[in-house]
Amino acid sequence: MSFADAFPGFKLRLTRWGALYIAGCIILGLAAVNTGNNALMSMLAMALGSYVVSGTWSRQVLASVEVRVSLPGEVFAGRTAHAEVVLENRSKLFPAYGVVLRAADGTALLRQAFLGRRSLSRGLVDLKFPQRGWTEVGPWRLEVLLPLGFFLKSKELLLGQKILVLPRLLDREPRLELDGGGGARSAELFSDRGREAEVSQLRDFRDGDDQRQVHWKQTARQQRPIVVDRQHAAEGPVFLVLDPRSRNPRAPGVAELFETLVSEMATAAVHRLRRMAPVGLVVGSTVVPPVRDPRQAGRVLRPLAEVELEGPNAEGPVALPKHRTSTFSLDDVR
Amino acid sequence: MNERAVLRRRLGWLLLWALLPLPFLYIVLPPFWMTAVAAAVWLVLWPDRVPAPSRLLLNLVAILILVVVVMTGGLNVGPLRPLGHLLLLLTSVRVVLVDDRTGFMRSLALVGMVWIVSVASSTHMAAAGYFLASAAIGWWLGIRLHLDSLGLPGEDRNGPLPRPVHVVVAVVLALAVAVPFFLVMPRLGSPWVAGRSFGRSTGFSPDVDLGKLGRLTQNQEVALTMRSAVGDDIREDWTRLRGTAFDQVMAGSFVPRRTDLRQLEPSRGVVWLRQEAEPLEDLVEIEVDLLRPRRYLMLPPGSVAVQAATPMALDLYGGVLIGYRRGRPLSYRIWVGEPRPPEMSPPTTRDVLLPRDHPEVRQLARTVAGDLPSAQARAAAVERFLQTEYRYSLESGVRISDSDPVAWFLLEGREGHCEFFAGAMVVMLRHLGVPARMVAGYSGGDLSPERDELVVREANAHAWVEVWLGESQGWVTFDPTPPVGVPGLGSVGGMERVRWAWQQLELLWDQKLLTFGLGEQLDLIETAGEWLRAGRDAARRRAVQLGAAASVVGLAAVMLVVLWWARRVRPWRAGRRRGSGPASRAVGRLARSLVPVGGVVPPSATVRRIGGQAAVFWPASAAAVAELVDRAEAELYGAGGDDDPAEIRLLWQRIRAGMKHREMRVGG
Repeated sequence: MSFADAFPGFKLRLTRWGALYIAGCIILGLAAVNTGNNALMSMLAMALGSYVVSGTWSRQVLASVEVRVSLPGEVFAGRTAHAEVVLENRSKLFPAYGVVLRAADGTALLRQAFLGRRSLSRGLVDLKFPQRGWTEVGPWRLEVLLPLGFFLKSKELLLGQKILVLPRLLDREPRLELDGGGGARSAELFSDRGREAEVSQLRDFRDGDDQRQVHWKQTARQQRPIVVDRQHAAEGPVFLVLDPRSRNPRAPGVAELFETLVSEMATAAVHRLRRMAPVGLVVGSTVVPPVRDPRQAGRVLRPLAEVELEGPNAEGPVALPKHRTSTFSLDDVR
Repeated sequence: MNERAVLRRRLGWLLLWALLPLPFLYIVLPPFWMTAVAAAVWLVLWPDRVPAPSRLLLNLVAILILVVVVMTGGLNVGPLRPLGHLLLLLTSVRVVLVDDRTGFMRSLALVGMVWIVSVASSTHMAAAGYFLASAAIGWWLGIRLHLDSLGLPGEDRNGPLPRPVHVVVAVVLALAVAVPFFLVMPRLGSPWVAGRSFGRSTGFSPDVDLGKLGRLTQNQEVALTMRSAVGDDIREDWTRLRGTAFDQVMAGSFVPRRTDLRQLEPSRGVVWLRQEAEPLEDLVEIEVDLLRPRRYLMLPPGSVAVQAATPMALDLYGGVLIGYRRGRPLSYRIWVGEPRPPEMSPPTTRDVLLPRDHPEVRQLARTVAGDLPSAQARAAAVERFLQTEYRYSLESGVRISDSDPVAWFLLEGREGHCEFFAGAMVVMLRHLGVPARMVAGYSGGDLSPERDELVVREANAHAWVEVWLGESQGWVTFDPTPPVGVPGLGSVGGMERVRWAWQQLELLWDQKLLTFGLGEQLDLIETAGEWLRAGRDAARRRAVQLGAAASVVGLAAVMLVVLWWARRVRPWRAGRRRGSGPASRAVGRLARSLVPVGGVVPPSATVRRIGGQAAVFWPASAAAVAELVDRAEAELYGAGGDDDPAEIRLLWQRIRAGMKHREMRVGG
C-alpha cells in the first residue's frame, strides 16, 4: 500500500509548539556542542528521541484509525440530522490520543480524547445540509496532534457516501387548493377539525408536529411528549402535482421560488401523512401512487428531492382527471 | 478549583521538581533557590491566594533583582552563577503572576530553563533517575497540555489521561532512540568555551582548577583508578600521585616550563624514569586507568618505569608528558620502588624568581622564618605558619581582577584552598631565597574493601610544594595546606562491599556517560571495526560448516516473518490473495484464450461476462464454463476459500476439449 493510499490528502503542519521545540533543540545542541557537557548531550538526545517517537506514534495512529459513518435515513434540508460515527483504532501497538474529526469547512465534528489499542468508540455527528438533492458527505479530515503536538497531521477521509437530502420543510402547513375528483369536504376542513377523526395511533412527538396533536394526559403520564395521529376515514387520496416548468428558468428569483414551491409541497405531503391521510405525487411524468403511512414518506419526498427546474418546452405533469389534485406551479405563485 | 488555580498548582509542582537537584549542586547560592522554592510551595499550597502586584511594584522588583544579583558577586564570579541567580529570581516572580494558559506556557519555558540548569550541572549518578523521571513528566505534561488545548477531558471512565503505562513506554522508546543520538553527537570541543582544555597554569579562581589536573570544588567525577597488578595492598604513600611542578609565576598563576623536554624511548618494553635501572622483578607493578588524561601521567612517589601506549616525554620537574589524547582514557603500568622524589635537576634562577617584589609579603616571610639558619628549617616554619594561621576554605572570595592572588591570600583573605597555601609557601620561600615549586596532582582516594584498588576522584586534586634542600636531600615535599584541606584515604565501614559496589557503578556511570567524549567515540568506531573484522574472519572460518545451514534457517525465518507480516500486520495484503485460487486462475486463462479468437475482454470484465463470451465462442464448453464461473465466483466472493485444484484441472480439460471441437469445426 502506497503512502498516498494510506494517507489520502495527507497534510503536515508544524505547530507553534513544534517550532519552539525545534528552536529549543537547536539552542540546546549549540550549548551541548560548545560545552561538551554530556548532560546537555543527553537532554538533546532525549529530546530528539522523543521527537522521533512522537512522530512515529502519531503517524501510526493516523494510519490505524478508521472512521465509519452511518448516515441517517431521512435528512431534510436545513434541519440537523445525526449521523453515527464509529472511530476504530486498529493498531496493535499504539493507543490514540486526541483524535479530531473535522468537516470540510474545518468545523470539529467529533473529538476523541483517547482510543485504546484495537478498540472503537461511537459518537453522534450533527449534519446539516442547506440544499435538497443528492449530496456527497465530506470530505472530512482526520487530525492527530498528539502525543506531543509537534506537527498537526491529517488525512482526508474518502467516505464515498452520498445522501439524498429531502426538501426543506416549512414551519407552517400550506393550504391546498384542490381540483377535480368531487367531494364537498376538502382536506383542509378535515385538518381544521382534526379531533373529529378516528384515533390512529399514539406516538412520540416529532419535530414539526402540531401542538394541538399533543395528548396531554399521556404526556403527563409518560413524562414525554406524546401526540395523537388521527385517521380521516372519510378522506380520499389527494395528488400533489408539481409543474417544474418555468417560462424563464434563469430569471432572477425563479430558482428560489421553485425551491419554496418544492418545500411547500413536501410540507403538505408530510402533514397529510402525519394525519394518515393518503397522498400521491405527480412530478412531471413521474406519478407516485398514494401512500398513507408516514413511514412511506420517502416515496413521496424522494421525487421532490430530485426534481429540477425546467424550461417551458419540457414535458408537463401528467393529468389525473379522476383524482383530487392540488397543483403547485410557478405560474400560479406569480 | 478554577482553571487558574489548577495551572498555578501544576506550575508550582513543576518548579519544585526542577529545583530538586539545586540544593546539592552549589552552583547557585541558597537564598536564590530558596526564593524559588518558596514561590513554588506557595503556588502548590495556596494557588488561589496569589497577590496581583501593580506594574510599579513589578518594576521595582525587577530593579531589586538586578541589585541583588550584582551584590552577590555579579560577573566577578564568572557569568554562569549570576545568570543562574537571575533566572531563579525571574522565575520566582513570573510563576506567581500566571493568570491564564498563555502565562502558564511562558512560565513553563522559564521552569524548563531552571530544569536544564539543574540537569546540566548534575554529575551524580542519581541524576540519571532524575533525568528519566523528568522525561516521563515531560511526556505526561505534553500529552495533557495538548488534550487541554483541544478541549478534551483529562480523564475517561477508566482513569486519568494519559495512562501512566503509555508514558513509561514512550519514555523507554524515546530512550532507546536517544542512545544512538547520544553516541554520534559531535564532541569536537569549541573554541568559544574554556571548558575541558589542556591548561597550563594554576588558576587561583574561586573554582579550584589545578592546571586542569583536577577540579576540586564538589567534583566527584572519577579521575583514575589504581590497582596492584598482583593483588597487593595499595600502599598509603602511593596515594599521593604527582603530575608535575610549576615554577614560573606569571600574571597571578603558576606556569610550568615546556622547554628542555626529553623524549622517553622504550627500553626492554618500558620507559625508564631513572638513570639507574633496577630489575623490574624487584619492583611492584601498578596498573592505572586514567579516565581524564590531561597533559601528564599521574605517578606515585618512587616510580621507576612506565609502560603506556602513547608517546611520552620527561620534563624538568619529573613530570611525564603524554601525547594529545583529547580526553580519551589511558591505561598504563608503573613499576614502583621505594618512595622518593623523581630525579630532577638542581634549581635554576627561575626557581627563586618572584612575579613582583611585594614588600609586605617579604616582611611577612622574614618575620616567620627570616632568622632560621637552614632551608629545611625555613620551609618547615613557613609550612607550620600557614597550616596554623590560615583557614582552609573552598570559598576564598578572591576576585578575578586581583593581579596578585598570593598577596591577597597572605595579607587580606587569610583563607583559601590548597593552591593558595602552596602558592603562598612558594612565594614566601622565594622571598627568603629558598628555591621552591608548586606541585599538582592527586591525594588520597577510596580504597576497595580488599585494599587492592584505589579510586581517585577529581575532588582528590591537590597542590603541594617541593623545596630544594641542597644536593644531599634534593627536592623534598612539603604540604602547607591544613590537614582538613588535604584529601585523604576514604574510610570503609561495615557496609564496605555495598559501598564499593556503588562506587563501581559510579565508575561505570563516569566512564560510559559522564565522560563520554571523542575518545570514546573513536574507541567505539574502532570496536565496531574490530567486530566487523572479527565477524568477517569468523564467518570465513565457519562458512563451510555453518554457512549453508544458517542461510537456510535464516531464509526460512525471513519467509515466515514475511508471511506472518503479510497475513497479520498488513491485512490489505490478504486482499491480494483473492483471485489467486485455482478457479480464478482458470478464468484468467479462459480470458486470455478469448483474445486470439476475437473476444473482447476489458480489464473490468467480470467472471460472468468472461464466461458468457466463452460460451458464445465455444458452445460445446458452455456447461463446463458455467460450472467454472460458479466455482470462481464462489472462490472470489464466498467464504469457503479456494477450490480443489484437481477438480478445476478436470473442468479445464473439459473446456479445452470444447475449444478444440470449435477449432475442428472452423478448420473443417
